[in-house]
Amino acid sequence: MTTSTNINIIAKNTMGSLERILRLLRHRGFNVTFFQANRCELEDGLNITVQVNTERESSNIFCQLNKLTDVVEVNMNYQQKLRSCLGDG
Amino acid sequence: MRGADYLIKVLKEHGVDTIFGYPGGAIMPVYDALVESGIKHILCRHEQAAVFAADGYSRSSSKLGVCLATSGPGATNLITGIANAYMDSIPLLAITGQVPSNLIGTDAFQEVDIFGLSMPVVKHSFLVTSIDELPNAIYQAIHIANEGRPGPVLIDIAKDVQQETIQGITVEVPKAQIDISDKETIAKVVELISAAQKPLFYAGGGIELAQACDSFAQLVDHLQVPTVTTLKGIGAIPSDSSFNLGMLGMHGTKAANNAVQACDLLIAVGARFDDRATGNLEHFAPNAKVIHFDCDPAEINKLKEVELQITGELNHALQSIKDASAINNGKHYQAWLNHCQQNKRKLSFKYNHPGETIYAPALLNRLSDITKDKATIITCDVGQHQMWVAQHMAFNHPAEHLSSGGLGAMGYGLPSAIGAQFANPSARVINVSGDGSIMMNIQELATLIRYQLPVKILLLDNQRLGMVRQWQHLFFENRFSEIDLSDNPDFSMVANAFGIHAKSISKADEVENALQEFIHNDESYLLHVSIDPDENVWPLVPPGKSNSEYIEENCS
Repeated sequence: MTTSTNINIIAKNTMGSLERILRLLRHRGFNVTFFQANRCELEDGLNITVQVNTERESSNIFCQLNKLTDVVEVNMNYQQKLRSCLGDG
Repeated sequence: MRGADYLIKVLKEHGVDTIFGYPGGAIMPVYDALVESGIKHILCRHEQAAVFAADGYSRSSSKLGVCLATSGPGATNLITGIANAYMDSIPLLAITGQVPSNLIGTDAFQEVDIFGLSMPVVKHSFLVTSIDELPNAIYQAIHIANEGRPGPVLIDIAKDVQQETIQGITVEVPKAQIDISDKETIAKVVELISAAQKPLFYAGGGIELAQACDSFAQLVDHLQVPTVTTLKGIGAIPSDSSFNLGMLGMHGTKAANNAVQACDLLIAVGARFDDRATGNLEHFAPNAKVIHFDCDPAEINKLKEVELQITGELNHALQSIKDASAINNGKHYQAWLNHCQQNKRKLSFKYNHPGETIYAPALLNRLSDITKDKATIITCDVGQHQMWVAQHMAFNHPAEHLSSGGLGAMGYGLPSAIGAQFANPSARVINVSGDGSIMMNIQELATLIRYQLPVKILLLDNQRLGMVRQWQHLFFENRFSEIDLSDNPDFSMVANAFGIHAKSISKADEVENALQEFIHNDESYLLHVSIDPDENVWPLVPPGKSNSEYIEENCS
């Protein structure tokens, strides 16, 4: 079943940072239906809002985005199972 | 100081003393800086071989592997090797020259957007177009390649940056962060293991990457829990350990696959539930709760739902569990252990193969026996011989067995042996290859001679692309397509032409003497072994099937 997910990303505005985020979403099976990037308070940072459609489990993309060196923070409206990246241990 | 000199200086400060590469126009300032730098540069004969050699150097030494190439074709030739390091999480620094910054984006001679091209297969990458960016890029690249889950990092440096004088250097030196598992999590692991009737360790390559093999082997011995390994996990505990049931998965041992299907607690350590290991995931370890140790949170719950996750530093976590556990947890799973060990004995491989032809599994098993006299590293290419090595040779440590796991890149074996020999000059390094794979980087025979490396090559020649033939036989109704290599060159003559000793054998009674001569020769040596083209790798779990549905020779 296709689900729609909103993702907010704070990222450093370094060379290729947007490209890396979009590439990751595409490769992991997420279809971008909305994308907006604005400069943000973080020094030379970007506040990115993405809406994606996917038939994949959404929680894993949270972890994959968090792994990108340029990404500072990820928030998703899909809260279930986010513990998998944030849990203790 | 030029940017190129600064690059070399920082590499030396980080302990880099060996670089594998190939020069060209856009990287010439760096090659100039290498002269009299004290860094040993190894000239491979293809950039792909240089990056594979850097990978083999890293895997066999746990150091950062470094490779160097020029722009355009030099850089694109690195891609397969970078992808190989990415798939197997190998710390690798790939440095490429780029056309001068004012020409980037103009389709200049030998200009390729390697920054963009490599993006899917690097952990991170830098394109340096200003001298001010260079120091942070180098320091961060080395840090990122090594920290957490290791991986390849690319630095693409415009030629003018390499030549420009660097002044007023300020660097943000990245700090290593160590995540330590809390006591509560450790206690939960101990509780789950204590409650299990049929616990099983599933050991992957992450154990060696975390340099936690000793801690892991000690924990296995302490808990007396049977263990299966992935291809990259081979050696995480010694092959001859009574707790080691062998490799799981598509070509895994029957004892290992049976244990996974029967266990009630699967403890994955530095393993990522790869499809070649799990078979049909829905039916993988169907009765088991799963505990997953992995420093990469993105691996947790990626493919298999877990009961408990441990992302903290692995040595600390394993030692803490050992300290908190009773020996064998009161022996309440002794019956399970006995069952697994009996299975291992009962279902072990047999080597009494009839006929005069050479049976590759028996030959490899014998090679394994006679190379115990000194430190030996085996590097593999990809195909049937790779699986036979994993099945029939014994290893005491993962760094003794270098194999292209995730990517499965033919041509990996010979260059990685070169890298391993440089990292381990006194070790016996043997590349076990096939007649398909060896031709992918055959030019590296010249590198063996140039540096007088005593690398041995055991070439198993079935005049076929054997694994593809096996699949066409089993799954495509014997419709053989483009697998016939019966017009191979005379491999002994090829080796001789490069100045390398060689011998060809084709009969079983020639094996013993040939192997003795092979391993005791002090120089590089190619032993060409003709084997039966119709031989297959058994057992085999057909794609899409459960690991319990393996097929064997009499089923084909």
